[in-house]
Amino acid sequence: MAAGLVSAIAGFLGSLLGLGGGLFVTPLLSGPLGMPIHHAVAASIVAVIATSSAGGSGYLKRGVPNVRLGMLLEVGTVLGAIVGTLLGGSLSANAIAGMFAVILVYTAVSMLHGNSERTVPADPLAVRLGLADDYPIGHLRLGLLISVFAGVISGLLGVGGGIIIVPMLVMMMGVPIKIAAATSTFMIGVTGVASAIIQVEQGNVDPLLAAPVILGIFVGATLGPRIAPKISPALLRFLFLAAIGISVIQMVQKAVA
Amino acid sequence: MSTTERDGAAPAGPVVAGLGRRFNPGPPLGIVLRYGSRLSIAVLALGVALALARGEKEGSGLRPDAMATALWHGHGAGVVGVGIAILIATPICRDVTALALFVRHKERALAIMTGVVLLLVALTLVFSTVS
Repeated sequence: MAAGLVSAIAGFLGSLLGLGGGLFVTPLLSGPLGMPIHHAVAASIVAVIATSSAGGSGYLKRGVPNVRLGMLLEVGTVLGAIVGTLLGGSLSANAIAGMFAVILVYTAVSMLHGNSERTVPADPLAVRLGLADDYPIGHLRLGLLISVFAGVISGLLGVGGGIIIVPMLVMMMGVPIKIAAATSTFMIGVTGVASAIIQVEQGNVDPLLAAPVILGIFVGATLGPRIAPKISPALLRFLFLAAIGISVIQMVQKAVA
Repeated sequence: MSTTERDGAAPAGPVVAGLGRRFNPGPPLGIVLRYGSRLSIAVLALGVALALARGEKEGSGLRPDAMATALWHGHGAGVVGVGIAILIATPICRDVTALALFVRHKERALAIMTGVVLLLVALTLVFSTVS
């Protein structure tokens, strides 16, 4: 019950801030609830699949994601997720917590800095593949490479990876921000699948622990977008900084324990 | 007129912003994701309710034999396992559907990329199971 409640809060906060619930659920589960961090990461990545499938289907209904680009970049994220999950299995809880703290700080800086849209020169390969006709897509090969890195982070820490993919799509590849966010949500499901399969085989997914986390994040992520318009930007900023701050403290404590 | 219409094949979805005249596989993939996620969440909720009602504290694990045993004994953990399996299978079904659509619409490069993703997932599954 406690795991479900904590996950609902994480999913709610994540969706309010345009992030996946995975970013907050691992610090909450492994901190106050005392769940082993490897199990928290595993439960989180399975929950990420649920939010990606549910969120992705909503975006697809409205025709928002660039499906062709997403499916191309998935090659990189899936490859990275396999490497990241295998790497995570051999790392200590302290090391994972330390990396998590670094990613949380990066997220805070990245969110406060913002993703400014820009037009980039079209990559000839993207043109040949017909990835988009309304806006030029640049740096496709580099994007594929960074997608591998996003996949590694996703597999290692059980997060969606959107915090790396969205800025990359917007600022480096020239994808409009709404399409970038929807494409990232669409992509991360199959990326999570590669990680989840390894986590299941490593025995890190306890169904009775993972299920409340999945349901909690799902409920929280469903409520978030409905309540978001009623929350002032100042309160949203405070919630964001508070959630990141508490999560960083949790992870640093674990890293040095 | 879209590429697919010129080729005489029925377009699988509408032409949307960012895709111009190219074939957009989004709508059918959205249907797979929508029903897959709804089904998995419903089964998970049922499993959790059953496990709470029976006061179960131990999970069954997610190996097929353990799940089958738990289901046979009417344990909520077994139902939860099925829900997680449906959840994990949903994006795979999405990519299988995408592969079929890309092949049908002669989108060779994207079919190969989708095939590579499915191959990576299949190899992960095989090697994880073997190890």
